[in-house]
Amino acid sequence: MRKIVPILVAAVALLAADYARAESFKVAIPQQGVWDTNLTVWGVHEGFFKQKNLDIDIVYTQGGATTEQAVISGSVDFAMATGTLGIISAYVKGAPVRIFSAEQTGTPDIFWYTRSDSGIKTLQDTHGKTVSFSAPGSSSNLVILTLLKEAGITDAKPVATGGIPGTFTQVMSGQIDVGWGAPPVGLQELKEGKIVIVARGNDSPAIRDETIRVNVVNLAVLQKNRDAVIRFAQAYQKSLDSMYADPRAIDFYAEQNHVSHELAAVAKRDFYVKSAVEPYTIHGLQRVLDEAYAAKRIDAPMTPEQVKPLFDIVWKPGS
Amino acid sequence: MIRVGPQSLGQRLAPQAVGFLTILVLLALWQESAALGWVNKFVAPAPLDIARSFPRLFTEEGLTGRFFQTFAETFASAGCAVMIGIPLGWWLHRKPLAGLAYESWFASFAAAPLVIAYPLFLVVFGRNAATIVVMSFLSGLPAMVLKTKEGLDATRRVLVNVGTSFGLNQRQMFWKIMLPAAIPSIATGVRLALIFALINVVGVEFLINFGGLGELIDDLAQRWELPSMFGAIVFVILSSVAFFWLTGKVERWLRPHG
Amino acid sequence: MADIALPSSRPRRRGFGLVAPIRLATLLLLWAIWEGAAASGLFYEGALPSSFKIARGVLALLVSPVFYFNLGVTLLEVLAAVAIGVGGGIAIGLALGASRFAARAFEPYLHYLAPAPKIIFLPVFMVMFGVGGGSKIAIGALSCFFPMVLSVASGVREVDPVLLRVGRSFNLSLAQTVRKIYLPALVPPIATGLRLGLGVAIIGTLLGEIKMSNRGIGFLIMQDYGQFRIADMYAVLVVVFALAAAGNALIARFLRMKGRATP
Repeated sequence: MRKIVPILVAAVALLAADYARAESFKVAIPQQGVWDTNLTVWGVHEGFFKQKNLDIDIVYTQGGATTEQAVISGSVDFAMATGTLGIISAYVKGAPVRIFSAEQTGTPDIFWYTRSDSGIKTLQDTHGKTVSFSAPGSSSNLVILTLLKEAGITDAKPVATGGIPGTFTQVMSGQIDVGWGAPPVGLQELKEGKIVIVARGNDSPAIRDETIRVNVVNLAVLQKNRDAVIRFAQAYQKSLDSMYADPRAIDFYAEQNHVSHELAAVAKRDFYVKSAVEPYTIHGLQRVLDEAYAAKRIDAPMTPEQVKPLFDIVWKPGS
Repeated sequence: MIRVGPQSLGQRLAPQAVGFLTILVLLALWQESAALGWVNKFVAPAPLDIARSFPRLFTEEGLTGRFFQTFAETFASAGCAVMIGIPLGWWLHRKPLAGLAYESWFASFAAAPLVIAYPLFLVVFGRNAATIVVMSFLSGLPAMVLKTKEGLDATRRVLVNVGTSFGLNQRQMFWKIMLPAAIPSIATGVRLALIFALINVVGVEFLINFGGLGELIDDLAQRWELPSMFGAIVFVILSSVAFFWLTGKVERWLRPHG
Repeated sequence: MADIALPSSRPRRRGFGLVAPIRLATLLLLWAIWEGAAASGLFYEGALPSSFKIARGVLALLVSPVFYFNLGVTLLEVLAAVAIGVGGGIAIGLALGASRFAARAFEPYLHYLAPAPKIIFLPVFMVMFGVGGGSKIAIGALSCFFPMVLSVASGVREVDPVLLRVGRSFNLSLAQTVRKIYLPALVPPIATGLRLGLGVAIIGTLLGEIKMSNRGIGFLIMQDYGQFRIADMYAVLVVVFALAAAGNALIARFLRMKGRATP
């Protein structure tokens, strides 16, 4: 009882803090524990944002529109790692947001795998097989359709299977043949030889050169406090450099995901290359716009010039 | 002086008219607020924009097909709840010890927040109609069991005595006396099973982004088609209203008159 | 929406002593089926972990300060939701019950909206009230409002007219009439509305946390799910279900006591 009361008091205080006028910024992050989305979390942990006089309060979402809704409505100031396609779709409809940096170019982290006893070794073996993606219109959906097209597979059966844990169970229990995944789920089974990877997102040259996810700021925040956004970007860069240089970052990632240091190191080495998270250049924008039109996210084909005002890369090193 | 005698048509319809006009006034205020920019269109689009989205919902978003999918899942779930719930309810009535032991469990299960366990069902059954139907079946089952038992328990003693005096065996007693007497309560159970099933089907479709109307709402939210999303929400509410009115009519038809 | 009543009569003495052994035997059988299914290989081991793993998860949870912190957050959100939903429900229920005209004008809309799945309003509330506790409280309050308003409106109409005439003869003001006659007479329907409303408020709040949050029991569930700690997720669900059952039993007991106390 003595321990519970102070904890309850802390809970009340934190709940009240939602309504208090604090000098902090709220940041929405999808998928807690993922290496690239951990950049902000690591930065908060190491005090890089505090050094820039930024108090960051992190809110985790389920990804997709929930992250976008949060920043568009102004209930968070920043949304990290949100889909480029989704944000363009919202911007075209008048959403008050700006992209202030890239988050990930290509999809080095997404892979497709199958049980090692399935007989499937590569995408060429997926004729007539079920191949999963998370949800219609998601990046995993777009990537697998591209990979299948490039491999000349026309008779595989793409199936939406939802999140990584549910997909993993469906693969291991034989409900689907090939599942989509991202580290660290599956790495232990990969190491034990229970599953094999049949394709990776970056196998496609087109995908490799496309900025899939971006970091977004609410327009009112940017207009009112551009300096804070610049400082945010600077702290983000420092966090990025630190995550790839400091070996403690691997332990941090391992602890967040309840995996061993060894598996965490494998995830970083094989799936999260630093060049993919370089934040200053948006790549493959025309391809993103073409995909947005094909997925009915925008009503008419568009060119990069038409969406230029959406992009405001507030800071680069050396500027 | 207290007025007696029948009310005029105007007097009878005045409350409904006032209620309807109030709704219209609120909608008009909302429309005007949206037009003046007082209401953020990303929070609540103007009512006219929502109304204009309806044709698109049918022609481009497959609203009709989704409607049938949702209701197919609903009837499948409720159907399973009826087929399993009635025999279970009969068993709880027939075996008093079982009734004593398990009735409160079913009542507690009815109040359990089953829907929050949807990640569990996703892991076991996958992201498909099976998850939706199983979860909705489980939500409707307790109502069917408890109302069946309630109806059978409430069979008037005098009717049972009459059956005994006519020498009816157990099976005849059940089909000729017990079940007809329990029909009103069973009908309520069927209606509750359908209601809980529909609520859960739409809810789980929304949560797992799969299926019919619930998935459509989540999908439109993901695509920032806000007028259409609100339109879909209105359609779901209207469908629920029609559905519950219909099930109410069926329930009243099943109940004996007088 | 009709209430599903717990058995109101006392259990018969005859056979009552066998109820506990039957329940225990049933629990053991269910446990055996679970363990059998988990060990059978029919399901992937991660999807159906052994009950011992889940039990360890429950024990770890019960001694975890993180769990109590998140439980505190959820409880506060639920309490705030219930306070708003119940307060609004009682106020509007009183108004509707006291006026036949208002009831005929507006109550049908409440009856029609009551069974509609409230979860579909989640995207709207997320945008309206933000990512903090506000959106969770809003969806919980909306869920809780309908059972309360309908229960109170119906309860007001059933208040004994003799009591109201007595109040008028004592020249009670409106506020006094509400405080001294209506509210005491409305305790049973308010309790019924609260019992129904609490359940749906818990569900609405948890679903809001599941969709978007950084704290609360719903957040814990999604955290475990996202990192494939399925046994830990089962543990959180077991504790939540146990707490919900305990809350429901407490209110049911209160209702039974009130039923015996009320003449």
